[in-house]
Amino acid sequence: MLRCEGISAAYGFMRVLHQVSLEIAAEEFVALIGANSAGKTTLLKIISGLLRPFAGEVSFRGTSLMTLRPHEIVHQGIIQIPEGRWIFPEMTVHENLIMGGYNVRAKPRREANFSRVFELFPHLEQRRNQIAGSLSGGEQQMLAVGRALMAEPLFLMLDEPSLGLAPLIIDLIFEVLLKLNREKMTIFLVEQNVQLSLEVARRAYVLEHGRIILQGASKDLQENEAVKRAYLGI
Amino acid sequence: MPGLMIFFQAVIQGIMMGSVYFLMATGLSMIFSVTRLLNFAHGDFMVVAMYSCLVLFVGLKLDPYVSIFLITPLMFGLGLLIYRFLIRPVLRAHILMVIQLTLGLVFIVESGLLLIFTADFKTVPTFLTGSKIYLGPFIVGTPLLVSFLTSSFIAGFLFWVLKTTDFGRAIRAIAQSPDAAALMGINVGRIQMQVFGLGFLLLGIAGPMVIPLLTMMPFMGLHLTLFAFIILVLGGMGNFLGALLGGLILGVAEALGYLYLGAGFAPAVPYSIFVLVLLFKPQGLLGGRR
Repeated sequence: MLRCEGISAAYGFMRVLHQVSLEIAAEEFVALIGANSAGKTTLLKIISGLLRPFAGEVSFRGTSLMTLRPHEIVHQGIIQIPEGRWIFPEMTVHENLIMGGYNVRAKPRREANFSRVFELFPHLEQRRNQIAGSLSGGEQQMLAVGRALMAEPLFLMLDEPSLGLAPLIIDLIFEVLLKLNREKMTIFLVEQNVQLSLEVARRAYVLEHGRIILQGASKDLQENEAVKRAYLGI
Repeated sequence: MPGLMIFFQAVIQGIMMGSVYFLMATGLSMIFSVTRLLNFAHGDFMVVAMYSCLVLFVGLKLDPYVSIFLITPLMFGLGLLIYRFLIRPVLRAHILMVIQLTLGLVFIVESGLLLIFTADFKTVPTFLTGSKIYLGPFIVGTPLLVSFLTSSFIAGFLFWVLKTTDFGRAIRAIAQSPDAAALMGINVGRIQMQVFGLGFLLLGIAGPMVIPLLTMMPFMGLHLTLFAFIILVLGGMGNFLGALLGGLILGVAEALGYLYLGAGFAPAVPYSIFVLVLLFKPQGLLGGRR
């Protein structure tokens, strides 16, 4: 479904990605794991069109994304929940959700999508008219996921959704992700929390210093000595 | 008590003039919030709209109040063109480049007007010029009242657009975070261009309406821009209601300045308020974004 081939990127003279290639098939749940500053966020920014690589190509369902602008990539059904959530702090919860369903593809079913989001996160419905900036971190993450669902993603990317959240909220968010994946949504999860990622994703790539150094089924990676030593602390 | 009556008379006139200042400043404010661009030539384009009324009057005998309907779409188009071909190419460059560009536009527009219309003061007669209306014990010039009513209507309309339409929400989303807005599927570049055009469209309304109130000269644009900047700083950069409040304060301050200090000191009053706000509440009266 999504294919990255030989992606290389840099900020100024600092290379952050070296020839990164990966492929995610429809209905898969794939994780990209690695330490802080390994280049994970950069890769997501490239897929969303917020950043241009200097080499390589991203394609989605057979068509190249390289000439598309960020909003056009959203219209393809590629939705990102960025690190730090990027909710609109001065808008209400309700308005944030409306913004999620702004794109032409999802707009006609806005009302139906509202009920779906409130079904998954009943908490958000209670907070409907609250200013989003006044929500707790966990509530903001729920809002970020809910807002992404308003866009009817075909391919959902999450950047560090567990960062800074209480274990209870993390469980809730990941249960929702698993449920969405069972309903045939393709999910690409970027996480520093390796243990958690390998539990939910069926397959994973390991990114280190901008290079993919390992890939495979999650249960194989959980047994891998290098992964155990570097990321699982075993 | 005649003193008190005169005071209220000045306040009413100030509020009405302030609403016109708001009309001029809110476009600048909306442009700033979606592009982080400060257009130093904003006031000059209001002057362009005023001189367009002069041309339409001399050429076609059109009353400025009729010309509004011709000038607003033209100003919108001019705004789109200037944004697309002058502003957008430098928007991602250094902030000083953008400032230099708009300052350059100031000189181009002012010199152009000077070349075509000479430095003489110009006025255009309108069918309302000189007429007055009695509001209870107070007298108000009809053009001022019309400007006030129009500005109030537009303020209400813009507020409704910002609050409840997808276009308005997109503007607010971009103001809060352009990247997050792009991830929502908003075409950020297009909204920026439309808002720039909208700012010019508002100038196309404000320009003709102040024709009975101000005398035209080619160099008045920078002064108008400065007033708009003061309003934005007063109310908070990019804050819609702040621009409304700032406009009204400026109008009233100016009117009271003329009443109590005379024409010599009055122009200093708005600037004094500006300095006081910068000293004690630099984020603006209602807060804003940097």
